[in-house]
Amino acid sequence: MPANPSAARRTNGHRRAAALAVALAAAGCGSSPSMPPPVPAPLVDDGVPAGFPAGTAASRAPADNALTEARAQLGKRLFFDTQLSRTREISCGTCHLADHAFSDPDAVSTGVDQRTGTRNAPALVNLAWGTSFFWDGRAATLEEQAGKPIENPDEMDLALADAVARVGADPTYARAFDDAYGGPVTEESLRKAIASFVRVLVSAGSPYDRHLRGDDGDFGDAERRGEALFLSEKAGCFHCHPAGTLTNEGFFNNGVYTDGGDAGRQIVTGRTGDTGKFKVPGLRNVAASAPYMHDGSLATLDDVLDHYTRGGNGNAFTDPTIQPLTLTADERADLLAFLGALTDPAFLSDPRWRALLD
Amino acid sequence: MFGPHVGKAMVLGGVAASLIVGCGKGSTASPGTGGSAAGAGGASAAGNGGAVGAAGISGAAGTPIDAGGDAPADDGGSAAGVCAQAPVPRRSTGTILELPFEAVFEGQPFVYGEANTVAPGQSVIPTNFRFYVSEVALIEPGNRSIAVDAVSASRGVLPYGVFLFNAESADAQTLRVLAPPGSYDGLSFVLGLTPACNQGSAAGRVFPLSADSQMTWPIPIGYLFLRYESVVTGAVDAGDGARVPRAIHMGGDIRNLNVPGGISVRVDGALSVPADGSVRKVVRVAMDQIFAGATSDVDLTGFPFAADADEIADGERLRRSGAGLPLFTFAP
Repeated sequence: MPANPSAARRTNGHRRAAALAVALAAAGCGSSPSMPPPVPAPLVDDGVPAGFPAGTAASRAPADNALTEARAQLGKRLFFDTQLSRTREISCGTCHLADHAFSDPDAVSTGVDQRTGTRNAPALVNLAWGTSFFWDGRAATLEEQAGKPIENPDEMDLALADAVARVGADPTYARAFDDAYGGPVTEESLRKAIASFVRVLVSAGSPYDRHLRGDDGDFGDAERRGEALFLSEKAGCFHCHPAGTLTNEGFFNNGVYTDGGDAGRQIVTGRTGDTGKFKVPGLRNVAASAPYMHDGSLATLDDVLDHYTRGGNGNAFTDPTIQPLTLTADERADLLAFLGALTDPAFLSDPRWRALLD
Repeated sequence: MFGPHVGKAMVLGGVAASLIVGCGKGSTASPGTGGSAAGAGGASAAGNGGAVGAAGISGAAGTPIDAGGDAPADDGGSAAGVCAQAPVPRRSTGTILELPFEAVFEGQPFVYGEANTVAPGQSVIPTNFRFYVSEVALIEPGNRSIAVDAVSASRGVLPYGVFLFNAESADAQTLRVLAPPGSYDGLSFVLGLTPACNQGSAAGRVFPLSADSQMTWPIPIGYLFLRYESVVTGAVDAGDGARVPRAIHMGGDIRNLNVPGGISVRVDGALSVPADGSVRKVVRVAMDQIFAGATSDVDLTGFPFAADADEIADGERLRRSGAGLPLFTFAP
């Protein structure tokens, strides 16, 4: 096994891909020189999570990057392409693993040259409806966001110009960019393509989604009690995680920050009051996206409940809605049941999200 | 959709919200369908201890509102009983009147995100401050109110006819209305939402009534009308009975969403709107008065959530006392 956990995950991912290839071939679905390449499963669909604002992911795309199948497929290829890192070892998908709701099970990710970052790789779920990106919200659009990890020295450490040169040298990429954007690869079209793939990562089939649509088949009494508690002043979760979207897209200091730590939003705005604020994440598939918080410091959802039960770490900048909680063991179990009902197994195992086999 | 929640016991503060009078199934109007027509009489919420509502029918101080435009007001989103995402404009011509809101404390700038001294040894760092403005009207000499549309810089009517002030965003601090040229004695508006807009789910709604407004409460108790959060350093209790609230979450009349529950605001002062160009008039938000209202001696007996959360109790105190306070004034 590689000593590097990230390398281990990549190896496992490649094993899964190889196994899938064998399975497909055994089923008569493999490609051969005499057969045309298989048509990839469409990535763009019209799923909308329950309780979300009206409009599909495509309708949320900016006018200058309309969501098309060609763009999403191109973005998928780029997302999983290690060429986009200086050492050709790290792709977006190295740290954003589909099994983990496109988050990283490590507290902080390992980039090129074994460098580690300072924040947990966030889940990439339903970001088509997001209004800002990164834990500190420094990107206003997915298109803006998409290029930054490529250039980040602790992540992929490759200048976008160099990424363009590498990608542009590949004739298949050149054709794909021409199809998708009507021209050769540029920094802008590279970012747009990756954003298009992230935009199609829609999770809309959890028991909670079905519950909101009127189907309580997988949403029992414990989940219902947990939901009511979640939306109550007693637990207070709704202050930042309103029903439906389960994020208000805001920035709050939820008590994780300690003096001298990562100042979060304050780094972007310069405002004292933004010290220790971080973006409120959506919670679809939260049970699959451990560890938690901006720094990955809480390993389990039980740890998260412990954190909020004690009212955070006691820093003066903690939001006033974060107060110590009094929850019984049964209430904690109900909350965990509710959070578990946010898992969308079909999303986590969706073969469309898997890396290309070649 | 939130249909399955209708009539179920959604719990806030351990109290089954379905027990709230008037907040049951009838309060779950879909966007654009208008919801209940109750409240169309400009009914005062005073009987419930609420602020006098001005939405739709009555203007500030009970003055009649004249739609005053070239389109029927009752087709617009701001008429009582209707919360249309794309209201019919009241008028197609007029001058943009810009009304930037500036927070002050006892007349001095109250800076968002930074420490503001509010008493010796006591400072406040506001970390969240936003509020809705609806039903804007200009007041002509003779106390006649002219309803005007809240518009964007490009003169389009804002979704639902609602403006959301957000101290966090420089782009969300100036209310713009499309005003007929003339001389006015002031303006009025509702700090909050109309009953129709206050009901139903944020799901499917666009900003500023979507969840990313940060102004949603669990169904069926409506929206927050004003949200304020802060870091207070030094003694919260100054020792003379004064108290600086760390957070204020004010909604409408959560016991009966069918009545106008916002605070009716009147800002007096000469306003001259020219026929050409645009005009700008700064509106001060008196944080000292907001704090005074939120900590005023209001009997909250019977208010369902008074004991559950200080910020909700303080919000309700502000809602019930705000109409009598100079919360907003024109800058000199």
